[in-house]
Amino acid sequence: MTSHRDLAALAEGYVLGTLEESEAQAFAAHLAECEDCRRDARELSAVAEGLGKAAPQVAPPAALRARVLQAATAAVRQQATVDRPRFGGAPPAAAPAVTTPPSTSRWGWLALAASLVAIVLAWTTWQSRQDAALARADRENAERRVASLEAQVQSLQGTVKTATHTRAVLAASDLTRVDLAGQAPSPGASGRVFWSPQHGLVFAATNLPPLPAGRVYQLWIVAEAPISAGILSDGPASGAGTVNSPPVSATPKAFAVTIEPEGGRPAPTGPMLLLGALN
Amino acid sequence: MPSTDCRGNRMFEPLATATLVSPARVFPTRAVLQLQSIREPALAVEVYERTTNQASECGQLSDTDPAANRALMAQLVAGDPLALAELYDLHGSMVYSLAMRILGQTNDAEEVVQEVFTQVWRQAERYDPSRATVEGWLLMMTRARALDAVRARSARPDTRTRVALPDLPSAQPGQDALVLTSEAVSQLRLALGALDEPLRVPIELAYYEGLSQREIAERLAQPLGTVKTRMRTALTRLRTSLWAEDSR
Repeated sequence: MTSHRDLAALAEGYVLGTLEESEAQAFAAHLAECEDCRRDARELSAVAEGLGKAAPQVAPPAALRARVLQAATAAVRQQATVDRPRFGGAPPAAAPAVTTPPSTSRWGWLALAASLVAIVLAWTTWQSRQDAALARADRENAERRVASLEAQVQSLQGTVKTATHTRAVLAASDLTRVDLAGQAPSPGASGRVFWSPQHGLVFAATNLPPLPAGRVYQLWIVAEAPISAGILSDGPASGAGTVNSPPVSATPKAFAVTIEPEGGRPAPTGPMLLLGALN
Repeated sequence: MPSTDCRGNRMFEPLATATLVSPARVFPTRAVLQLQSIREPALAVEVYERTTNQASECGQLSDTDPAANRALMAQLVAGDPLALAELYDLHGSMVYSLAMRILGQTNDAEEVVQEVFTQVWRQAERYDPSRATVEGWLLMMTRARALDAVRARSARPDTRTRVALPDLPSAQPGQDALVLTSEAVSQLRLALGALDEPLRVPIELAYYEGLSQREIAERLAQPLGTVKTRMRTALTRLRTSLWAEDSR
């Protein structure tokens, strides 16, 4: 048998964790029954802690903190172990296992309980999915409503701007009215330009011919060169359209409407439908 | 009194005077109360991040109140992520420093710090105050993890047993592990520096490199008996330095 003296000499290696496996086990067993060695080991483990603290102190990088805390708290926590009956232990006195097998009614109850749990779980899961789907639908609805309201506001702002401009033009002291007559492709069409050098123009046309697909009506201010006054709003289906346009620096000689590819052109390219000269 | 600063330079200032204010003490109570209602750990940590001052200057060791440490452990067992943040603020630097001393590489050391705090978070209820102080426990885990990393890095067949963390029963039931003051640590550091090389090297090989006594004997080409005697002598001196101030 190993003497106390031999075992006590293992204390240093033990606290440093540098003993061979067999030595460590022998010392651990000895610790349980030797008060002196326990005290020794206790003090020596304080020395070990001191060695750990004696390392040159360096500050960790600042970014490490967030990384460590995020990673650590993301880890699944271990549940505190609960004392439960062990397998292989003495069976409870009332255990019927030896005499009778578990009765079918007990298993029946267990099965019923299990299926109840399953049903509740399924229902809860379904419910929460429904809730999530509802919440998502609500959010999508709200987003759609916001988008539609924004569009309405924008359109109203356009309307107000147009109305304000129209009023300014029509009330202008330098207002001139120019009638536009239908040209060869559309003799029945007509239009009117209300022109104010100070405020710009307001144009309205009626009886315009149907537009081929991908084409628009474009109004021109004919000065030295034609200047686009804009594309006629309103649907071509009605054969009517209006344009509001700001003043231009050039002196207009005439106004004309042509058919142009969608989006309009910087200079007229298509057939002329309406023309009216400024007196 | 000479000691070393965080960069390992000698300096003439006792460590004990260069203590940091613990974030636990400056943390505003109201904010704590607010934060305690946040159940999402990551979010709580983030909020904590934004509301506390980062107090990591040169990372000097400071005394932490054992009772405060214990309170933090209780909060951790309850699953409070803020307690982990506080524990990191108190001891993260100490853990990192030991990992750096053993591994010498910032990447590996950072990995070890992350592993240690993850282990703390997962196994907080395993901490036993009669076996080690909170710091001693953190250092044991740090050392074990760092030495594992050294072994993994060296890819040499591991013939030796892992560094077994000592499993100490308390001297008397209900008695806590001995607490080291920062003053004691600086005494120990001085005593370690004052050891002659033949006494100091085996201790350092054992603690910082995890070599067994047999391996130390091989490395130093000395008889095993000599190594054992020298380690015993060295540790006895260090132990004496720790309790020199006390009545022991």
